[in-house]
Amino acid sequence: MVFSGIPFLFYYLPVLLLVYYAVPTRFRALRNGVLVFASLLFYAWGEGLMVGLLMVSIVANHMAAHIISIKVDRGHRKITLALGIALNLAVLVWFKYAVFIFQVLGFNQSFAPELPLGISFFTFQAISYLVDVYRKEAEPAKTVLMSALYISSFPQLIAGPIVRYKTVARQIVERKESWAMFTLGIHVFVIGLAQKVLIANVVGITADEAFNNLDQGLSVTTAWLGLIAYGIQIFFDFAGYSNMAIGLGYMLGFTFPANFNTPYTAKSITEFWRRWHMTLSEWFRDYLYISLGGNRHGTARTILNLWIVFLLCGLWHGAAWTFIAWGAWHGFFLSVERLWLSKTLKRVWLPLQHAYLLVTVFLGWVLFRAEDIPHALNYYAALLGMSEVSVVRVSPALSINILLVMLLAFLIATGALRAIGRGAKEFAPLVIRRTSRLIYQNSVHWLLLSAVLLVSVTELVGSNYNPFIYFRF
Amino acid sequence: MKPQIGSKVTKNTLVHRVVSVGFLTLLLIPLGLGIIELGSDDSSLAGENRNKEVWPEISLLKTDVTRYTAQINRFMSDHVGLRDTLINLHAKFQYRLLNKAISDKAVIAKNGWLFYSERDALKNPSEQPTFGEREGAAWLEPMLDYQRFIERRGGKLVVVLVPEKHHVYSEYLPSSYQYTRDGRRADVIERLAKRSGLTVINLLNSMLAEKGFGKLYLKSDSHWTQRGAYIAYRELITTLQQRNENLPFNSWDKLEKMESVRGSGDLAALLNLSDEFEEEYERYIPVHKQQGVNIDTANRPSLLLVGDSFSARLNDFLPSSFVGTFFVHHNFRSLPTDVVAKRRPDIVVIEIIDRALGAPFEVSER
Repeated sequence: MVFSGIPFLFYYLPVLLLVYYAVPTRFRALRNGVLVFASLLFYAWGEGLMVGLLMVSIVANHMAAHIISIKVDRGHRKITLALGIALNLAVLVWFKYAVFIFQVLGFNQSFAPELPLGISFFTFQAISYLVDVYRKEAEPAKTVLMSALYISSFPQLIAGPIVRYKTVARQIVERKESWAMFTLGIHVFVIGLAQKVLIANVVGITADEAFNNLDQGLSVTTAWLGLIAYGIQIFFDFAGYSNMAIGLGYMLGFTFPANFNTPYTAKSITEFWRRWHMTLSEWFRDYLYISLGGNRHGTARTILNLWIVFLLCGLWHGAAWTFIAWGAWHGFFLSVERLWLSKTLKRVWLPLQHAYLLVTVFLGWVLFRAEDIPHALNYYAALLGMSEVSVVRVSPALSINILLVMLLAFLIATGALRAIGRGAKEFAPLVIRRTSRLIYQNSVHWLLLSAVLLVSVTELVGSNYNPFIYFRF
Repeated sequence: MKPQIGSKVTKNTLVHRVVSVGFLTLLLIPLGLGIIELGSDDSSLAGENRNKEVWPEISLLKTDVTRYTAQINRFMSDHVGLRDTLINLHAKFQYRLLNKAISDKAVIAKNGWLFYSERDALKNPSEQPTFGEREGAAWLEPMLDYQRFIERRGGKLVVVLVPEKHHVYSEYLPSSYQYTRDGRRADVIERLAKRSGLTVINLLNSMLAEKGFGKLYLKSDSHWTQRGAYIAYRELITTLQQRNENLPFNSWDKLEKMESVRGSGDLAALLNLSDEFEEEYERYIPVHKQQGVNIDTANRPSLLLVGDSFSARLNDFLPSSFVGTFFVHHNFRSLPTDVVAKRRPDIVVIEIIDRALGAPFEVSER
């Protein structure tokens, strides 16, 4: 089940909210029970019996966390933590990377298991649970139900944000739902839904057209448009889904951390990773980079640590050479920035700093989107005008209207639209500014949000329409 | 008040309550209407040529949970209230805001023209699988077998090749499509048929020559108009007359009972945009459907029409020249033998739209 689908939006969500709020606040455990049941149902709905794996992970990590917390001897605690992490990673490696490893080693891939949805997310959350308890940054959950709520909570189960245990440990026990929070949840959820349905899905048509028709040859313009479209798509798709998760969290009384902070406004790759998929980069920073020694052991070791983190970060995104290459791409630029580029960049004209970031990140998306390395290399060739165009045909996916959506999305993603709005405000007289702000906040804002919701919902329902031309016969 | 992300959200106001209750109500309306089956006339399902998904049977023996839930997802999607209204709104938003079709089975083109794009219908010959002399010969082979089969039973075979709408009106295609005729399958087949003795009528040139005199295809329909079908009828009769068939024939100018109507075609309906693409066109009431008109059927040959959806309008004219006209759909693949054996028609006409020429037909007992 996905958030941007009819079953979730018109069946699962309203029924869950009704049942959840029908339980009085004082029965916190029962409310948590409703959420855990709903989360397991949510997972089983798409993944079937794989929900058993999730349940085993919950029970095993709950037990491990308690063993870690009750052991006094540091060595024993460390061994239990290491075993717990190893177990989580073993499950992740088996289910996510078995096909890739078998392929690399030339083994029969038919023995490899199917990839359970969200395994990368719930495994990382489980590791966070154990480490936070080990570091005594949080107490282990008192009941399995509470551990289950942390690991399997449906809003962030499938696509994040990766919520660290210490962030929500208290909220599981004593969060406070309110009308104001619920409203904030609606606001963030609808924005996320629109980002996914109205922008990512629309510009995704252009990206697919470019990347899927590479064998027919791509003109330089189409290749660059396709790449820009993909860069916009992946941001709005992922940020949209994260926002929907955060919004759902607010509706249920949780405050999840933000996952994106206008990443395309960054001026360097280093800054980009402070703004892009923030919960993942913070996870890698706190649980891996710092554990490896971070930047405390000289430049060479720092660079090595960066490379390890980013190769693993790439691999975390998918079991393929393209993702490893994507991780290496970012690792390379981060290393170069740390060595000398960072200082140089700060001295150059600001638009050039932004241009450097955008070109580097977008070129990296080729590796992320390509089916394999040769596909990526062919796409790079097309970007350089080295693709043989066999068919003189411009795709309808590049119609002027879709390009306008792309432009608007690009302006939003790069913060240009906000800057324009800020500039316009400064020219308006104070009275007009104050009056329009008051009207906007109290009515226009909600009307706009309602319109966005309506258009998103029509898009959702309409996308299920599959007409048949020969209905006459 | 507009909430600010990250700010403290502890103060509840009336606006918060109204917005929260309103949102939940909005989510519950489609669910409620779906349960009591109100607010949907199932017109979209008619467009999809299918029935509503039914609730799957629960079986303890079935262990494939995800297939079961996928079926329930489809059930939910079909039974959600206001489905038709939302699909209509979606179609209008897509068209008005993005000039985009709700389905990739049709393309919105210039000046209110719509083109069918499924089954590679809009692809240029250069984008389709190669169709040269070898493929053309392979395509002709079953046709020639079928011709021999018919001739053994005293009949004659004529193949009518119908061009795609954009072959005739390529100037209205979106500028992103650049149509080129080079290597068109119908042209290859026509050339090869001349050598092998099969009568093939390739209609494109006639239609291109006459498109200035009236609409040969409706802007909003994938099929030809009666005027377009009339060209096929005229070319058929002319061809048969050249082969010593004595056939009565009405010229277009002499057709009476013409009326002007307003409406839209199947492509507009496919896109849920029927009211956006209404157009005027002339309609001829076929002689055989006019009250009080008796057709003299003496000495007229019988005809079997093997065709597709384009045959419907062709059939408006054929009864004026033939007797006992009988239609069989070829389903884009098969040529029936049993009906020929049983009815022994004097003339067999195979009508084929261009997009169905990709693979050879089969001669089948049907």
